[in-house]
Amino acid sequence: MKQLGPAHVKNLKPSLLLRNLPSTTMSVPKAVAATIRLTVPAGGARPAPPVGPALGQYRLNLMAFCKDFNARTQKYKAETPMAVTITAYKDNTFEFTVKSPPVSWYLKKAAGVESGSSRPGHVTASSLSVRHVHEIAKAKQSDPYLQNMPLESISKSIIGTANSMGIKIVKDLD
Amino acid sequence: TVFGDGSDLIGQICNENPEKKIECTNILRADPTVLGAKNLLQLSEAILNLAVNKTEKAEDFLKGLANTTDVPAIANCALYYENAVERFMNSLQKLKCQDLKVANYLAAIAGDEPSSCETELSAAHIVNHAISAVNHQTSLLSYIAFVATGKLS
Repeated sequence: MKQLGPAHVKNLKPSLLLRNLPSTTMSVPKAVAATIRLTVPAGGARPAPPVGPALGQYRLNLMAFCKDFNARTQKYKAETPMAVTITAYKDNTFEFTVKSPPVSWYLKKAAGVESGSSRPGHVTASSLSVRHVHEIAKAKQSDPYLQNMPLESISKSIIGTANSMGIKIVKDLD
Repeated sequence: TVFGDGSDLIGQICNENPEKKIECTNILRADPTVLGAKNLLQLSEAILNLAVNKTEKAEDFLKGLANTTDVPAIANCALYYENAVERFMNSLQKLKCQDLKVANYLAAIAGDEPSSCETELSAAHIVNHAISAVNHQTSLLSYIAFVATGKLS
């Protein structure tokens, strides 16, 4: 077959040129149907409320979510509340991210209180020891963005949060 | 109507503080769910949803910065924003189950977190206008949510 040179290419009709071009595939972002936020206990996702109704209305694969969520959160103590944000796409697929509990949850858990003081800085709802702060700091240090952060620095932040919640930090509990 | 003069829903919230009125009105008018609210309860829910969305984005932004810069003060800010998101989310939950006083309180103390972040940066002599901007916005949203939920109590 005779090879076509530049001169011959110029004489071809545009439609013929297009047929010889390699196809190009461009990725198109998937259309988002909804963003769903839930709090689910670590290792405890079940195809039942609140997970079932929340995902079911968008016809998402409940079992796939539960399996993946439970695998991702197995390192946490059972029943630890995990905040999960699910992005549901219009093609019925989904992605999700899981957050570890925030410092305020750990503080409330350790202090045995439902919520902080109604007047932070004025009314002390409870007290915690420095040891508690240290333990919470170690737990938070497992978060990816905190892994290189000194425990002392994380502890400082935790104390700040405790103060804003009306939880007093003492050297030792009586 | 949702927007217009002081008699509308957004006006009822934003007119509480003349110094914040313009910023308050601008951020609320930009959200279609807020604009679609028919009453104060719907408006409060929409405002808290808006606060959750924006604060989560700020949290992700700060976590990204913390990973790339390895600066303790910025990582601390990300920690504070985790709490802020939780408080806005909890406020929304309390609002939905009609625990209005707690919802109001949680909306208010959510604003403590960006303040703590700003203090952290200042103590470390860090000037980052992007972080300061999100701190300002989050504080504004906390104030707005506090006013809105307060009108329901």
